[in-house]
Amino acid sequence: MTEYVEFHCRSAFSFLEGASLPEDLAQRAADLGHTALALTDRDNLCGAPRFYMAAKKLGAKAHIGAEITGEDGDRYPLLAQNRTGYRNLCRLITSMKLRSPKGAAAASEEELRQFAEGLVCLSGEGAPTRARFEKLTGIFGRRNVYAELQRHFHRDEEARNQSVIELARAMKVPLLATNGVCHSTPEERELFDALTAVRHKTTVMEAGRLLARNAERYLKTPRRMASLFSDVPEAVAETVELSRRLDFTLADLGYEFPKYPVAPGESMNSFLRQRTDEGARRRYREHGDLRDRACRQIERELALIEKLDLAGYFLIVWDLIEFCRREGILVQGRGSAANSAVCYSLGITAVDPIAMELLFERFLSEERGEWPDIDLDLPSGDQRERVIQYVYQRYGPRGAAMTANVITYRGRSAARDIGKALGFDPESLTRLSSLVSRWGWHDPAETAERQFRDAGFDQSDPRIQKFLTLYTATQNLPRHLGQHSGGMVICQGQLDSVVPLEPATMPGRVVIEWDKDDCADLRLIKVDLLGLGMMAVIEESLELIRAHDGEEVDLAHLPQDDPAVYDALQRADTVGLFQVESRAQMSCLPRLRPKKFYDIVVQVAIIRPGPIVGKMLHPYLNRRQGYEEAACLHPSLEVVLRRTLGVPLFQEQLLRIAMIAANFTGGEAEELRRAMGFKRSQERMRDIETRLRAGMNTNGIVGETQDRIVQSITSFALYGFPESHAASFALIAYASAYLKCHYLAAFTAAILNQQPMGFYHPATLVKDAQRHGQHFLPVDVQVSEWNCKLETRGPGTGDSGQWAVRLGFNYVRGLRKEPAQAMVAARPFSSIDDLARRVPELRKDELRMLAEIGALNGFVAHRRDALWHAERALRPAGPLLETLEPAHETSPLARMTGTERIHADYYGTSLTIGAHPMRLYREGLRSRGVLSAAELKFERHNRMVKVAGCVICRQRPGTAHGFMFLSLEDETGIANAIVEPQLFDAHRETLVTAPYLIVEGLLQNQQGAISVKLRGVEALKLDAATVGSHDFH
Amino acid sequence: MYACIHLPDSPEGAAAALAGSFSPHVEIIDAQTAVFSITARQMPAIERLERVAVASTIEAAVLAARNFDGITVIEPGGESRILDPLSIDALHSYALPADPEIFRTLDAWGIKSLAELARLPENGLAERLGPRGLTLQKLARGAIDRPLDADAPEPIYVESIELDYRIELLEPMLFLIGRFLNDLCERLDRQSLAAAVLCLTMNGDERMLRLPFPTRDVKFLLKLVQHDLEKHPLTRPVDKIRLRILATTPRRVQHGLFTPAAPEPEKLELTLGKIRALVGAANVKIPEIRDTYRPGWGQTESRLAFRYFRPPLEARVETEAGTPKHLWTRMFQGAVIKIAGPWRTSGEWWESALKNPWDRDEWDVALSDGALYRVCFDQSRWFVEGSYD
Repeated sequence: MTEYVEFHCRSAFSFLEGASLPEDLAQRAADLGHTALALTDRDNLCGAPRFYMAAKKLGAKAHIGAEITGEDGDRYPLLAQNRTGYRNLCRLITSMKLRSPKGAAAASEEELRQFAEGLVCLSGEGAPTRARFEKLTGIFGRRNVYAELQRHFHRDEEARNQSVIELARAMKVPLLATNGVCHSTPEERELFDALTAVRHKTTVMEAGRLLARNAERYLKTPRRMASLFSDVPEAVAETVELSRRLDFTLADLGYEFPKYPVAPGESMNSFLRQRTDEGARRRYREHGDLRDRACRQIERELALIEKLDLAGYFLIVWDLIEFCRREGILVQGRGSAANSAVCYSLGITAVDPIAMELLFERFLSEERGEWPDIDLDLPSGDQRERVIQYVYQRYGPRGAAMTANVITYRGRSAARDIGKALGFDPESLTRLSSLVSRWGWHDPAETAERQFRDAGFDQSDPRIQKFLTLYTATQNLPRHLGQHSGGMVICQGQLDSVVPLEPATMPGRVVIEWDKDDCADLRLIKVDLLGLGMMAVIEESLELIRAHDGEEVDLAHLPQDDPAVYDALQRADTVGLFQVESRAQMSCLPRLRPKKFYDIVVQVAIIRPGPIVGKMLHPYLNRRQGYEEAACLHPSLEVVLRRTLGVPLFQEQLLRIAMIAANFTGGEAEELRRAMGFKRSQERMRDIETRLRAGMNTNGIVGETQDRIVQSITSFALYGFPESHAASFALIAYASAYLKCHYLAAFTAAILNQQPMGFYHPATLVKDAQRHGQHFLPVDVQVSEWNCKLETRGPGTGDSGQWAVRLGFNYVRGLRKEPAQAMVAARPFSSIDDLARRVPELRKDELRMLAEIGALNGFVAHRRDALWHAERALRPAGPLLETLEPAHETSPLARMTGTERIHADYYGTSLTIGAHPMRLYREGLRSRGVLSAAELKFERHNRMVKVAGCVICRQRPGTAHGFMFLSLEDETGIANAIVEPQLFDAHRETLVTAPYLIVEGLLQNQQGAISVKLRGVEALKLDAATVGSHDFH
Repeated sequence: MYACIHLPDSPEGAAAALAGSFSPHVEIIDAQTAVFSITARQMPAIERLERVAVASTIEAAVLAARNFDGITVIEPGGESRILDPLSIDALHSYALPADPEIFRTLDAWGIKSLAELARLPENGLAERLGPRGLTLQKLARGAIDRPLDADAPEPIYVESIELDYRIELLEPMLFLIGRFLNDLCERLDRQSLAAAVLCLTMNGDERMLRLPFPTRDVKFLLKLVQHDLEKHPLTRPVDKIRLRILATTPRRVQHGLFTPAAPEPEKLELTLGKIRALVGAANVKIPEIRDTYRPGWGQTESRLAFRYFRPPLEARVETEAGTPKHLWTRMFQGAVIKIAGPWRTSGEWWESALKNPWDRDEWDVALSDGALYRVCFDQSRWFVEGSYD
């Protein structure tokens, strides 16, 4: 059998210079009979882990390399011969990228020399001159340079080949045949051409000779290559020799997690044990009943941690937690770490896994051979950035980096780029990209062909046909490298010798070239530092409460069964609360009626695709309300499912079911979970199902019960929410509810300052707070700060709370932070002219906007007065008259009407603290028989009702079979409406675009969860401002 | 008094034409609006018009005509009474260098009608919105008084003659046309214009000569006419000749010290004219190197001089493992002694089969007759494209 190894091969990770995914190249190579393949993407190793994993699975050897751009414009394909070579390649890429602007990296000759050891260089496609060959042999050594020959049936190339052969023989440099592969099959040449056009920002029609000359840059069989180079057989034979020489694989990465420094005589294990013991004593001081169980569990966990040599990892995370504690930064571990008693004792997580009987194996197991995953939730924004900077500072700039996020071609981006490359005009491009539906749910009848026909495209047009083919082929190809929101990889020593680093867009940050899955595959330990808006809200609320109420609210010791919290939850009065505020959550809350903390854990987990798709939601609610018997799948599973009334809701429960019913070990059960979540794992799933059934047969669980257990595991494990994660989130949800119920002013100011976040627009948050009696004060240049703040309420302003929320300059449209801060520093002002003169940073439009929203009303009688004066203040008076205070004059302008004020508020601050726009029209609506949102709860079930409001949320989730959900807000609250698919189709435009709607339908009152099932809808034409709607598709 | 005719639904220029029937001095405001000075005697005549306004100032007449249907007559001093109710938007389309920021400010002030704008204190307005604000206010008050800016008629460059006898020969005809060209080019010269198109009408048949560049060179123009008449000779004697020139601004060329000298456009055009007359316009092409790998279209890869066969020679080829071994054409045949290739190109895969995407293999072959040829296979047929020198 002919042997040949392809050593020059670019994947789609060369970003528009290759058209196939690394996995597809590996698969194709295996299909064609290659025993090894090299990946040499342009200036990066982004695709290397995926390539290596795919090749490993196929039993092929994956050589790692990269095509490095030199400062002379030439490209040098470099291959890692050994670990030193790999490290040098990583460092070379890091070095050239960190000193160059994005996309302009090029290696200097000095850098090539510095990092040449252990690397093999192919001569590439540059000019075959003696000087060049001498330069390369000078840098890499004569043994490590190969004269590359490629044959794509070009006359020029063949002439060049003859020169290369002559030169190589004269200089005794070995010849090496390659095919300069850019796509795995000849058919992919079209995609490659389209990507080339995208790269050069042109169309395939205009690209000319930028496109490929023919389709020969595909992966060829060894036999075909041997036949192509039959006149120089040594060039083919040499590929096999080279493959033997290159003994580096990514299994030999040399990554080490940093060691935590401990005192002499101490080991990391003993230090961890001490810290855990201290923590456990503190945590379980008041829980004697749990202490013994906790000690046993901790002992078990520590033994495993020691065995797997993971003490350093836990200590490093503990160190981060300690840093946050010292700096007063809120932090809470989420995810599977909450299953660990050690994490709980170390303060990493806040959920007691012993009390909640959580499954440790979900976090860590010996069989799995994987690093544990600890995610930390931090307040989003500056605080999180401080923690990230601490990590950089502690482990050095080359010792830590953010993980990458590979942005792939999807829907619209693919449609737009391919459409442009095929030369569609802007109008057609817009139509093409809009064909990729914005909505989550797709009508099964809505095939691409139908969509194109409906949009007026002629499908017999070859360009449209090509568009469809190429659009489909582009899906999931990498487009560019982004930065993961919080994943950090830390390394003992130099991280840049493990993986190349790139500068991130944000100054002071570097990002590795691999994403989180690659890190997991190659066993790089990552800590996720995730920014959570609600953590920032809670932290700011606590500060405001401390500053204004003088109270210290301790999150760890909040009253556990606060009646106000549970009352609010049961009434679905949850606007602004963490995780339980969405429309779907609200519709479930009155039926679930949470009474204790565990109910909130269930509530957080139940409105998820898993329980909804797995049809667990209704059985659980029915059982909870006593409509259905809480039967278990099997008596042996009662211990697992008792807490959730026999309905599996959490991932841990499924793992335990597998452990109990089918004798799986903890590690096997976790493998099951991963198999369910893994793409293209039909084979793995079948294998696991066989094992599940065999285990259940052994335990005597057969027939229908066995089928039901298998079915519930397979349908659910993919989407199920981990109980530990739900518990961590439930803690935050409880804290947010507690703060909203007892410290509404502080909570509201904080949540307004942390926007955008959550489910609702600030306008809705303000209206909700007002309905709860919260008083607001408008933006005022004499008083407001950049952020919203609390102020003492004046006398005679009612009795609901002591504090009013003063809106901050952050809500003024178009106002920059710099002039806002200058105003705060320069005040008080005596007049608008004084303000304009002393804060020259303030632009015309900013001063006008301040006048329009009433922020200058302190100087004048009304907003129009302020506008009149502001306009003059904006005109330069010249140096002579500048300091002269102009004579006071009354403006000739009329006051704004109520409607005009609301318009100005919504336009200028995106919210109003005045009347709700719907209130102005209530009388007219009442005469048309329209009820308010608050009145709906007094109406009978199934009665025909009319309700109107501004649309604050539109949803058409993928799990809802084409149903659409609307939330309409009026001055009394929020009304929910359900739109059936037929009605949606009939009134699509009105439903999707109209800012105000009047709807008619049957009132649905399911145990207090109220909605209107639509029969008719019309746009409500009001002379009112448009309120922002959060649309989720 | 001024009358403004506004015809929003009529074709472009209809308002101007209608106004022109009342007075030779018409100011065209836009394609649908025209103003002219009206006398008392003409007043009854305008009453039959669809949409017209009469006022003592041009701007008041324009505003009224644009915003009121039928006939509006504004007596001097009565401007505000008529214009006050108009929305401030009426000023948007007014042909002033309008500043959108001013309108945004007025909107923020709550100024909705011309009356509200008119009532604002002048000094206060001037302090805030400057002279543009004041102009708008004057407009709102109908108080801008300016003279009519009537357009002068466009000059027409035409010469014609009706003869008592018929001309049959080209020479006397060219003599007459030359005289016309002399006069017309002199007029063009006085206006600093040049000819862009010549329209020559003889006995009612018009022929149009579009010039490759603007010129008033009589000799050149006459030569062009001569070539055209030679190429398309007259079929019958002529007794009516009319020459019209469409004028444009003349060409200005700055010659650069380092730019290569190109042939003078006049000479090039004349040469091309001669060639077109010889071989027919459809057979004259300008060579261009295209940025493509399509064989024969782009740059040649060969280092030897290559002689294309036009059209390529159909060939019958005997192959071995896809490689030519023997070749037969109607002009030559022979065994392949030496061969290089295949050289493969393909492209324009996005086009339909009709539009000729290509996929071709080429070989350079030395035949037993001693010559070197390029043999091609385009997935359906064999042919010889040419030979190397």
